[in-house]
Amino acid sequence: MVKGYLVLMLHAHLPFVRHPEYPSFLEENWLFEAISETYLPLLRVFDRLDADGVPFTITLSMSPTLVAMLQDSLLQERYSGYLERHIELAEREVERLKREPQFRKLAEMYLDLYKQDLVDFQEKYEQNILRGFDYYYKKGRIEMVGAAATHAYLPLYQQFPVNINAQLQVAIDSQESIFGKHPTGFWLPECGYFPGLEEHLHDNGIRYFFSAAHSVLFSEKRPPAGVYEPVLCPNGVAVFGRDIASANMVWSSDEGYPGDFSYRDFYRDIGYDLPLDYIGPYIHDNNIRINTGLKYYAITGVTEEKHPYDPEVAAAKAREHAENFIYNQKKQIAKLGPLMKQPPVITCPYDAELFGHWWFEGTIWLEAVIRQLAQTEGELEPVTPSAFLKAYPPTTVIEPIFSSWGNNGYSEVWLDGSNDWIYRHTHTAIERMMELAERFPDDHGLKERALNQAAREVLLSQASDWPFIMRAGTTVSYATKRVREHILNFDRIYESLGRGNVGTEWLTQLEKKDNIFPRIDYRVFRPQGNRSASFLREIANR
Amino acid sequence: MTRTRLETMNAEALQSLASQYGIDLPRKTDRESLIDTIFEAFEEMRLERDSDNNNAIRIEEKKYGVQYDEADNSEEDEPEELPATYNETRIVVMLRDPAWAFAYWDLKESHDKKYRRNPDFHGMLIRVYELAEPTEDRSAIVDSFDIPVQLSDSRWYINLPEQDTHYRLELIARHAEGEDVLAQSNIVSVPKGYFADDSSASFQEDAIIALSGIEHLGVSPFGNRIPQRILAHLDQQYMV
Repeated sequence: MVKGYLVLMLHAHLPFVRHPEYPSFLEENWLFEAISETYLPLLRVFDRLDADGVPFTITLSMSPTLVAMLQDSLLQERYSGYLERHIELAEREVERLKREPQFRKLAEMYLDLYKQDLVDFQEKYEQNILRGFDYYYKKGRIEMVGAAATHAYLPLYQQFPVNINAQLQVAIDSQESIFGKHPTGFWLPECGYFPGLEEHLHDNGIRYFFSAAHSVLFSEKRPPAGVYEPVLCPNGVAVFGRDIASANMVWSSDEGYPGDFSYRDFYRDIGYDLPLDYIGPYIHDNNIRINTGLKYYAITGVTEEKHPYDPEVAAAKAREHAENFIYNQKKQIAKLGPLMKQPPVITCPYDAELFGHWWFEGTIWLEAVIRQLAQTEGELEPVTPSAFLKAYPPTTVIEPIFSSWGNNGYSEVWLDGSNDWIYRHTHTAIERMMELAERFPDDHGLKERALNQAAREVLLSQASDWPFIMRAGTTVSYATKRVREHILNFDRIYESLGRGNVGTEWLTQLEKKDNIFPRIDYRVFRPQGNRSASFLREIANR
Repeated sequence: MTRTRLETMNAEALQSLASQYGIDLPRKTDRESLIDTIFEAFEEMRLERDSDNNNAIRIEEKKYGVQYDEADNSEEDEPEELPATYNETRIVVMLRDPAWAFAYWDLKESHDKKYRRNPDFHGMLIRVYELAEPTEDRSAIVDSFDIPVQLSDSRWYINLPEQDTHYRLELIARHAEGEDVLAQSNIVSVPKGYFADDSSASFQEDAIIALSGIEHLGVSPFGNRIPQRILAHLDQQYMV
């Protein structure tokens, strides 16, 4: 008899950043860093577990914007160049540090990492790392759940049901076209939920989603088992509430594991430390210093005098922290067990990029957690939400409340003085897109291409990343420009369709630049009779 | 913002940056001190923002590389400004949290002109209606209050006096003869924002909630109302 279960849920997401109009683009590094430090190391974790016969079960969402970038040939080419530059830098570092063995060892570690990344990327995955995730998806090790098309923070679009449906339907279409399966679960960007969202999820064939803890705990009817068993929305869609008790251990840099003094310091990077005449070719244009990824110091403590990083000590610490995590979850299960009618399930959702990118040792920790879970002999079993729902169909019905996992639990990150200006524009664009979809119900050729591109631009303008970055206060100009560009592109199409003269050359250029969602059908924005009904029938027939 | 980035700027750019972010500068100062003052102010703003952030937001920031310098390699290709108005009279309300809503509105050019030129125009206001049910039916109105705004305003954060209720807004122009209701907003439903004090809950149910890490829930300030019966469990054997 299993005493308790653990849902490990990783959410991988980056906004769509692709600039063919420039030879290189700083913000494309967000993707390259995540591939190097998180996605490829994560696939190597899966490979090692698989090779050792360790049964593992991970729930994973990969946002459609991330997926689109990972299979884009331009970005794939640029990533190879990124790795080659990093290998060159690491080789120069090995040479520069030949008389400093403690640091040379670290330069060699980075050289090995980037060389391994290059081999995996080019030879093993032939530049498309989605193949690696797809392999484990098909093998049943990963349960792949959906995520909104452009990672819109949905509560701020709730007055536009057609748009909510478009964010879901386009995402699910995209996921199906790549992974060949219709997801049954869904990751709401930023855990952003509003009452009624479950209707759209249901209409798109989704059986469960994840929420912030208070979405469930603050409902009018308090669920008797809190967040430790899934509950049902009134329409039958299940909700897995995020466990807070375990979250801080992994997330917090102050109280949690990632802040341990022996771990690698994220901020101390040779891009800032070394002279410009040496590091210049590996940082941004005009000698603007950026992180290179080569970092030689441990967190050490609240001090500027950092100790050199020791990978062996840090790896041992990560394994120790994994053991502590499992110990605490087992202890929690032992306390919850006698209070509950069925085995509790602990839902642990994390941003995938936490592991490896910010918390360098995070993938070692994750691998150790999975290996130890395999040895707990029924005390704590890893499980996917689908498997849990099948084994223990939920019976408690509640009405979850509006919520997110952002600061103070609601929308203040995505709606404040720095970013509130965007919504009058994105909302108007949605209304005009709905108007276009009605005015041109069945157009083909150039008009259809323009309408499809208009739909892409409307969706891209809604990415939650742009208001997030505006509030964060840096790279604001890029986020601002992106919202403006997508709205202006949309407006130009809207007006040109009104005049009846769509510029072919301009449209073709835009299609090449914002080339996400090649299968999009603008009719998804039709206020009435959109594809939802036929889509449902299609799902029912599968 | 990094010191290196500031060092690449000329005096005019530094002054402009300081003015943009409301940083007070001493009247006479050398370049080095100027950079020091701006850098320290930016660091202070960064730390303040960071201290407001919960763990999920702090981690998310890392993946956008927002610790990078503000670099923009396409300044020469800046897109044009977005329209200031869509020439449509409307008001929209969005719920930010159980205590605050955000409203934005727009006026048709004809409305704007009509009131701007009218000597009998007494000003604009937002009327906030609390509703018993989420319906446009006026019989659902429980209470209302007015927020005077300027003709030049187009957005406002509204402190919501009640939770577990519904709100709708009207955009109103006041003049000598009375009022013109120019637009009605959508309706927002405000959650309670704290634990239901379920007196029928069992000892086990309260203990489970106490075990859920509620002391780290981070939902505030309206979410801090935890029933005493649950708080009592926090000190007991069920806590981790």
